[in-house]
Amino acid sequence: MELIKIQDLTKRYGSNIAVDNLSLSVTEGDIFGLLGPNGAGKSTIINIVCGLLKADVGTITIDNINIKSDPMEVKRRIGLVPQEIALYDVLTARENISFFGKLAGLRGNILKQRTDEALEFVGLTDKFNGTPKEFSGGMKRRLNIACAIVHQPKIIIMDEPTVGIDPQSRNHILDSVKRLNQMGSTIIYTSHYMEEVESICNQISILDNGRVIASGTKEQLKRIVSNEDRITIECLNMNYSSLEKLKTVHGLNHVEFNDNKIEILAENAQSVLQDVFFLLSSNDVRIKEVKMSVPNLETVFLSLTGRKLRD
Amino acid sequence: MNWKHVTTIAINDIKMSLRSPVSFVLILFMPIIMVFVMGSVMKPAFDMAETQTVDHFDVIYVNENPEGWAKAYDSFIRNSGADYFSLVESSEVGIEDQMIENGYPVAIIVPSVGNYVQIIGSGKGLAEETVVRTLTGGFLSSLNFTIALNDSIPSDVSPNPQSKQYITEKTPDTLFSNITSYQYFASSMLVFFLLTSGMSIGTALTDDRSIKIHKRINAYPIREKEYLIGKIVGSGTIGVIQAILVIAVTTLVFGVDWGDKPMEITMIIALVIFISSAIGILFSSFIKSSGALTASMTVVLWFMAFLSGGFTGAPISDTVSNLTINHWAFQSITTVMTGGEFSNIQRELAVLLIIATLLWGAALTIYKRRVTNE
Repeated sequence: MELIKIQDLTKRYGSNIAVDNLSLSVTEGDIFGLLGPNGAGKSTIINIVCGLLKADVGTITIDNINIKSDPMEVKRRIGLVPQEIALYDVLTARENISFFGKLAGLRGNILKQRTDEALEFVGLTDKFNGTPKEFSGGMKRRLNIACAIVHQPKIIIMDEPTVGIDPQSRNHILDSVKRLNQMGSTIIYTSHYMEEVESICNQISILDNGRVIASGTKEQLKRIVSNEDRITIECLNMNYSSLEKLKTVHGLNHVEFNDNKIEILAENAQSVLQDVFFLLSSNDVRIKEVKMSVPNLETVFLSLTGRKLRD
Repeated sequence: MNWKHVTTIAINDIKMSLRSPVSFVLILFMPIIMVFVMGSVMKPAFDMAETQTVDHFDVIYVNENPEGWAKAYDSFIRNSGADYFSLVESSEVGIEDQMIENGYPVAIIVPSVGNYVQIIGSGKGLAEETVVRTLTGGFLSSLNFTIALNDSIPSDVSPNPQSKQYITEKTPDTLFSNITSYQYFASSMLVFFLLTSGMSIGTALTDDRSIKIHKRINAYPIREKEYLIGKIVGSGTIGVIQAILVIAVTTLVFGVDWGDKPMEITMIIALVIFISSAIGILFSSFIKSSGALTASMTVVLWFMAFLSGGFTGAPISDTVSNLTINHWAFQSITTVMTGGEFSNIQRELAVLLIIATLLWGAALTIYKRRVTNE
């Protein structure tokens, strides 16, 4: 079921087009990644979906509700984790979560229970009485998430939630995203860290200059570039007969030798690597260096735009 | 309108304002400390007001009595009083309103019927009132001495056997009592600190924008007007707490008499809080950081307080003072404090209402534009 449907969306800031006739849809239960460099239009799309910005042109329906006709009902279904740490420094962790819970309509025992659950979910139960100014960057980011999920929204939108934090906190957050998804929430996750999107998202749209330049699963996106892995082996005493024998190894699509380097293309590099090494060693070929490159989203973006993702 | 959202925002703001120890002291104790310090320091100056010299001033004068002594008083007061004051001829009707509107310190009334002279003081010109009372008292003493002499002469040689009634100065009709230094500074500090309470809504709005909380709140099912009203209620409540505290403490500790018109005082306080909220919203629409907002609002509010005489005991200039919000609020509070009625503060309330309307019109227009542009 299509939970979020965006059709022909356009948003301009003066003469600059932030989102250009964009259409995409998110299926219920997805972890949907919006990947793109800074200025690609990710935050603008999120702000429009959350009702914080008005689109110039286009239709957005969330859970079959048109955002223009009933924005409040749409907002009830969404939890936004903003890119910035938007918390009150003088309030405790519990008070911050409780405040946003009240804005979402929670009261009484349900509010208390959900606040405790949110604290527990982000691992801040023992820090409930601490204020954000006493927290580390990672703890603040986790509290930022807790405030957005306290009302257990159907859709959770995370706008670059891992900016500026240590690897341990990043892993905790990425793990939290997966758990939230397992608990039934549909997630929209924006980032310009392609490794994050690649590791947690099952559907990805790559944006550039306000347009979707590619969409699909990560496997589908990688196939845009190539469906072959590349193995480069630098060796010291390669000979013609060894090369001919190498070409007979099963699973290798292409083998060539130049400047003491063997270039191999294979559909699955890992499965053929053992056979290649066995053949080379049995023919007394001495290996100096091995490089293996698998296509990733960075390669996809590079091939589609001619630029690197973080340029 | 979802009032639960309004109260959530308001309670949160009050909680945050009172949680910071610095804010707590500034909001709740500073007004009291200022009243104590200024009231104590300026008390001698207020006490000396009775002995000060006065410039030439205007006196409202009504003399409709046809009797001979009244004509004699008329002649006397015109000649002897000319060195000190000018008489502004008037009628008995609406004399108190004339005094308030035009700032006359004293009125002399010789009613058409009765053997007395009535002197009414505005409560704000003690020295002027003393001059008039001294001159009148001197005249009446001489006159009464003559009448007493007449009484001692046999009736067949007395030129005017009927005039055995002495002429009196009727004193209990003073319009307002004189204001004390503590009353003066309690009211001026109340006005000043109520105006500064607008800073709390200004800084709250600015902070919410700068740390992106406003954006985050807007992602929840809450309308912009609910958010803004919540902020206004929060800041207004702090103003009300301040006002209650200032009135209670100054009454109990310094013996300040706030008059017997709580409704009028409440109306004035409500108007000042309303105005201060509009100022806070206006400043927050132009200034990006709460520090800069606090600094600029403090400069403006202190400047207005000085111009209106809020810190000095007297305005630098009456004309310039009229341009400040403090002047109109202060005048209305002191009028009520010293016994004035609602009718006596209508003009001040009307001016405050106009200021509030203009500021709110501007504040809401600019706020809406700012939110739309965000």
